[in-house]
Amino acid sequence: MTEKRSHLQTETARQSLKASMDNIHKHKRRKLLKGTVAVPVVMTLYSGAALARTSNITGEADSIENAVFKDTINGPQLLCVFPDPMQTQIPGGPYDLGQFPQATLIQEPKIDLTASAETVLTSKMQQLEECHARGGIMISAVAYTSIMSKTGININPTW
Amino acid sequence: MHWRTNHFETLLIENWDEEYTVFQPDSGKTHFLNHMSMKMLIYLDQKPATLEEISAYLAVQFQQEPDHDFQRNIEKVLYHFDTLGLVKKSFVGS
Repeated sequence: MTEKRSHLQTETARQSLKASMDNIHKHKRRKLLKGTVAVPVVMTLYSGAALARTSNITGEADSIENAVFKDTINGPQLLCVFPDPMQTQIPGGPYDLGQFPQATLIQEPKIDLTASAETVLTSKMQQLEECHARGGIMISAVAYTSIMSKTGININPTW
Repeated sequence: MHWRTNHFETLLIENWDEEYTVFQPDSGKTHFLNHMSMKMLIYLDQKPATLEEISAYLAVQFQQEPDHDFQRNIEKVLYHFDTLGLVKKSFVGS
């Protein structure tokens, strides 16, 4: 019983100390912010509208497995999306697809879904290489859904 | 050269314990200002002032040395304010 009470007291003291430390940290952060009083500070918060206007910015899908393939009569074809040539693009992304995102479908090599998983993967990678050679990128299904719900993507299979 | 506020009367200002959020309808942007920045704007709204005058005023208000570094900081913020459209330059006679 005494031992139990002792344990409870220790736990209470520990929690009290933790709460006290949390307060000290909060106070220090607050003090840091307030401490800048000797220097004028101006920070601008950008509006949601401004963010929305640039929301067709996306990175390349992190893996071919997450890329979007369209089912066609000639088998799955990689959706190859083109960064907007009118925008300054950062090498390695993220990429600005612009207000009217453009894409094409990579038709070669054909992907035979009856082939082995390894062969399918190789074909997919070759389609990705072709996409990159044309200056495009693969995007994830999540990015695709997001962009489609906002501006859509103009897919021109003959490019 | 003097500095003065630009459409100060249109700003929507909230005081959060000497820190301020300032909505600027002209740009649709919201700015965060600390106490010294707000003092600068209020001072310039009362009368156009030179960099030296603003620096001297703020140095007294915030018990700072009005040295070159301090004045340089104030100048940087004035130019930043100018970029944001919160202040503008005015020249004698203009």
